[in-house]
Amino acid sequence: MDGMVMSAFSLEFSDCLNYSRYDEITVEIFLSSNQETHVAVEAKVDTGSKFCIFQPRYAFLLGFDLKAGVRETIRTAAGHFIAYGHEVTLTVSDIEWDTVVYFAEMENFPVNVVGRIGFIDHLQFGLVDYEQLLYLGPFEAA
Amino acid sequence: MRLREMTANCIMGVFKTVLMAAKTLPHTRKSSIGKVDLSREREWILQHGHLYVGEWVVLGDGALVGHSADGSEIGAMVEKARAEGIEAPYVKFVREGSEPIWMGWL
Repeated sequence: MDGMVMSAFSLEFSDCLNYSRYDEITVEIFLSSNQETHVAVEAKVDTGSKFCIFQPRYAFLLGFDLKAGVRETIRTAAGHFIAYGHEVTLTVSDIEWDTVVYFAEMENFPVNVVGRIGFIDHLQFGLVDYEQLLYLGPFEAA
Repeated sequence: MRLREMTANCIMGVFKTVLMAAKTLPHTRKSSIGKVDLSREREWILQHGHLYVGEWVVLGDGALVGHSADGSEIGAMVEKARAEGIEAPYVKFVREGSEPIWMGWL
């Protein structure tokens, strides 16, 4: 143990979400395109995903013209797909923010994913998978 | 050894401060629509989802508003839910539970 330096770090979170009722690490969110048009969605948390990607049906439910958004080609382990970015208000727990999320072009896109840009980058985020607990709070600069 | 690590930590701290200053700080606020809680909707899916595999379902306040295999019909159901006072209708495509395991990283 000589020479070993132990450091203690601590973070504070405003909420703790239990995802034990889901197969994967899942968050319940609201997406809205304006103050009146909200939709409730489940999304899987994927720290390896750069963007937040949703099934295209949600773009239509939020009143967006899907292909009028910012076009991006998203590369994956299994290939690539096209998605379009639109500005939304994203709510998780009792925190909300304005951001750009992407909607897949492919009609049968199978999943909703929240990734780094647009989700994780707005939060302090702690995970204890053994207990299936996700700790969340708004990002606060140290 | 301790001094070397403290110096390294100090340099990293300065580096982090410079990087943070260059990035735009994310702005968050308290939800204008209240706290997200879809526990009743999740419970409904666990209880009844197997009856709607391959369909879109629209739920509000933990109860079924409508369902259809045709996604283009969902918009009308969401509007109906909103007209009934459901501020954020829950919309989900129900998949078969025996589908391959999700591996993430899109």
